[in-house]
Amino acid sequence: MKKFDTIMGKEIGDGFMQYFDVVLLYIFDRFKGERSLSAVYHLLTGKKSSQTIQDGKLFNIGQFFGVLKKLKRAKLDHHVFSLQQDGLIKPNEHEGYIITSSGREIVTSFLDSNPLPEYLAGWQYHQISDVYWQRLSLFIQSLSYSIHDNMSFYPISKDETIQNWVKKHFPGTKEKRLLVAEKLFQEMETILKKIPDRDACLFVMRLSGRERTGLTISQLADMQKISYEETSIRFQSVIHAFLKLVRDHSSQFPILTSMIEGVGGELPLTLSTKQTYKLIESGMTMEQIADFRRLKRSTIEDHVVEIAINVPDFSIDAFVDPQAQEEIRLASKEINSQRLKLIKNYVKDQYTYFEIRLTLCKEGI
Amino acid sequence: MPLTDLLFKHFGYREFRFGQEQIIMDVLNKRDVFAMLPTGAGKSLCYQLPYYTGISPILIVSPLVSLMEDQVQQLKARGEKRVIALNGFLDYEKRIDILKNLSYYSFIFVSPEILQNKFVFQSLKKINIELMVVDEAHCISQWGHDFRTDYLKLGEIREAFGDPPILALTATATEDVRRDILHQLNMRNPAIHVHSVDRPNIAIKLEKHSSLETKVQAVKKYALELKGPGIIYFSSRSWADKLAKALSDEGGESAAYHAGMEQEDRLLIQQQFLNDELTIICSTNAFGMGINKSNIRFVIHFHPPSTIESYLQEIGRAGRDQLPSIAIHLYTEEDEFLPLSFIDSELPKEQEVEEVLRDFSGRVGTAYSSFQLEREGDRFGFTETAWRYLLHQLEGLGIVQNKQIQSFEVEVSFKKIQSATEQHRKAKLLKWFRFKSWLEEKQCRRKGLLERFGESNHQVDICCDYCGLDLQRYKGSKSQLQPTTQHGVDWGSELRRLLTVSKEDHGEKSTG
Ligand SMILES: Nc1ncnc2c1ncn2[C@@H]1O[C@H](COP(=O)(O)OP(=O)(O)OP(=O)(O)O)[C@@H](O)[C@H]1O
Ligand SMILES: [Mg+2]
Ligand SMILES: [Zn+2]
Repeated sequence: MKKFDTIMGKEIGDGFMQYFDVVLLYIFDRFKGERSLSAVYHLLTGKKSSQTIQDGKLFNIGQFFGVLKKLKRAKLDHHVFSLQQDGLIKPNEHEGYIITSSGREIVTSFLDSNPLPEYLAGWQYHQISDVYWQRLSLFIQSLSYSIHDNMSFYPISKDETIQNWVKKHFPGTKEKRLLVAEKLFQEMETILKKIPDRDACLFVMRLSGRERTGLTISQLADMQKISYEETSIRFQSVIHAFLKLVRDHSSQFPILTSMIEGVGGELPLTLSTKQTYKLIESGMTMEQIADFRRLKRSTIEDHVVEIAINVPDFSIDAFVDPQAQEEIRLASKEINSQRLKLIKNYVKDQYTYFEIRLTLCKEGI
Repeated sequence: MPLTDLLFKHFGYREFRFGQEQIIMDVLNKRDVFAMLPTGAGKSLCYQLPYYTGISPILIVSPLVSLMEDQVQQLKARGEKRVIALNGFLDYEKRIDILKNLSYYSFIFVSPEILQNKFVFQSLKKINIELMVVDEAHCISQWGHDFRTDYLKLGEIREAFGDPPILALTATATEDVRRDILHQLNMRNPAIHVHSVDRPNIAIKLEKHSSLETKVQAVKKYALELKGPGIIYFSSRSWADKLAKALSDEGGESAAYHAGMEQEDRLLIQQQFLNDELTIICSTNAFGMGINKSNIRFVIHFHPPSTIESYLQEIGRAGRDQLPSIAIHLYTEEDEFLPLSFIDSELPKEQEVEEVLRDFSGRVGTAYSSFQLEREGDRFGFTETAWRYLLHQLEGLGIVQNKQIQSFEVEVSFKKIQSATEQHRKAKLLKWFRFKSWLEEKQCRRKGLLERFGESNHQVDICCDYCGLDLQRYKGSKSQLQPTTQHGVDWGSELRRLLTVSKEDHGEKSTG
């Protein structure tokens, strides 16, 4: 059975620096060793827990939220291992890693010539980007076939709600279809011109239409000779660019704007947190909510933090005295750390972890 | 209207294929029907055509979500709107919505697991199902190769639905499995149509290699030389990935397909393949049962399947247009270990069983929904099949009743489950040995396969490597694929091509 492994060869892409490694270094740098490797994993795979969401905000790395949903833990471990071997990161006592000076050099010089995609915003759009992409790509596929008088094709999205949405919004006559296609082309061209050509290319080649089925992430990666992870991140950054530009200039992009309808309104909260939020709004205290929902107090605390992060006009004054907030912020600045324990020591245990966490996350916004 | 007129009107076919008409007649006479027709023979038509005589709604129990969705898409592509698939992947709100309007639908596809859901069950009960189809019915049998515990409950469920006639369909059921199906579904005085499992248009070749290296060389050679499209089967995702890449590097249009990929990418690969934009798929067994592409010319096994039935299912993807195709099985001595570890991965391990029992014994009284219960195995790191198996045992021993944990004796239950598992393992091993022994036989390959299904006659023109085979027949010219559009040169013009009608398009149209 040994031969089996040798012939399989090693995982693709060891030996040289990959995009994925740079992303990892970047995140380690931001985490400053204050979070474990699991936190990195949860961030990249988009685990919707209060902790992950909070980390994204606190350390300003929310753009990476869920950009590699299918990442294998083993693959992450493998990369981290080689980064450590190469002396670019060092483990610390919190099961986290600290970037070394040579590690930081690499990140800086890499990003100089190859900046992170401008529009990447994983957390901000994680709830709508997928639906948006599916609507857009199915709409284009249908349009592409229909304007060429061919309606027999396998829809690129099997999701009934997506199919129904497209059906409902599909122009009824051939003339209208041609018109919409032309306009859609212009709208998309305008947006795609604002981002790097190669990213625009990834996006267009992933679309399906008459005479060509879209390419998979792996195929796109081969096409541009970049890694799977880089392709995946770049591709998503284009969807994020669409969402950002379309929202900021909706009158300029009527068709693309119509595709956001009905998906953007929801607050990006986990389900359980939504229920807690409703109860808070109805005037219940945290104790009452914990009691009512039969949840631990700490769980409710997580919910409140999540709400504070995601609901811009949510005031935390009811949970942390404004004076206390001030002191906590000051402490964090003075010792230059986001580590709760250090801050708690610094303020001589006057405040609870919850109060400190809540204050810091509001600060990050 | 005569049946052949309906066939032409709704399907565009001039005549029935072998066996179809008799099966349909029995269905129309409201009899319970068991039908075994080879892969690609057109079993779906046997439940679709009755709809056009007025039988509706039709419930189709189908084991794989992907299969279900393909069937739905095919029906929809023919313009049938009242089609729906209910499975665990539908989100809650959508499910409720669909269930409220269930009477709207004429073809309702369900997974056996979803039938365990109370609301699904209640809603289906209300709508007067007129025909209950069990597709890939071999899954019902303990002795079948894809045993699914929830298939066992279908007998009861049909009674609850007011006893509609049953149509059980399969391509690959041995004698004992067939008996088991009739029994488990409580079929009454069934009309039985058993046809040969043979696919005469598929030539069979076995090829033994002394090392993995030469096997790798061989698979590359065949993949590049044979006329496509083709599928190559592997036992693991990493092998599928690796070979797909190797073939692409050498100029073959190939891609991997397996469950480790994003769903969207899987769909894209499937469609590229269906649209002939891709010649070769390197796949795990995730790409199999039910896949219906008419012009697949070769199927190569780089790794062995674990049973003879899966082998037939997999080679059965080839030649569905009835044109000559070939199945090549490459193997080495070492391959023997692969199915063994596969079998183990499908069964719970000793300490896993113990862990679950301890956990459950501390939580007597806990109640689950069927959806939660299906996913509970994740907590213990089970594979999907292993968890399904254990759950079945737990229910059998009364440890889980009505989705609620009952009090039980840990030690005793543990021993019982262990011995049942051991037996199950042995049965699976036997199945594997049955396949393996076929590889070693010195006789016509087809004869060997058919014997295992209790069949004897096997007169076909181009049969197998034992009877003599000219591979030249199956080779293709290099340029069989139309050169794909130049990938990624200029996104602007590509986007324009998708969204505008050019002058040439108009030209095309006026001439064609
Ligand atoms: N009478 C017919 N004439 C021509 N083509 C037919 C006829 N009946 C069915 N077909 C076609 O044969 C193909 C295979 O049919 P189908 O998918 O039902 O096979 P199957 O028996 O279910 O095979 P499997 O066991 O592999 O699932 C389909 O493309 C179908 O349209
Ligand atoms: Mg079938
Ligand atoms: Zn023969």
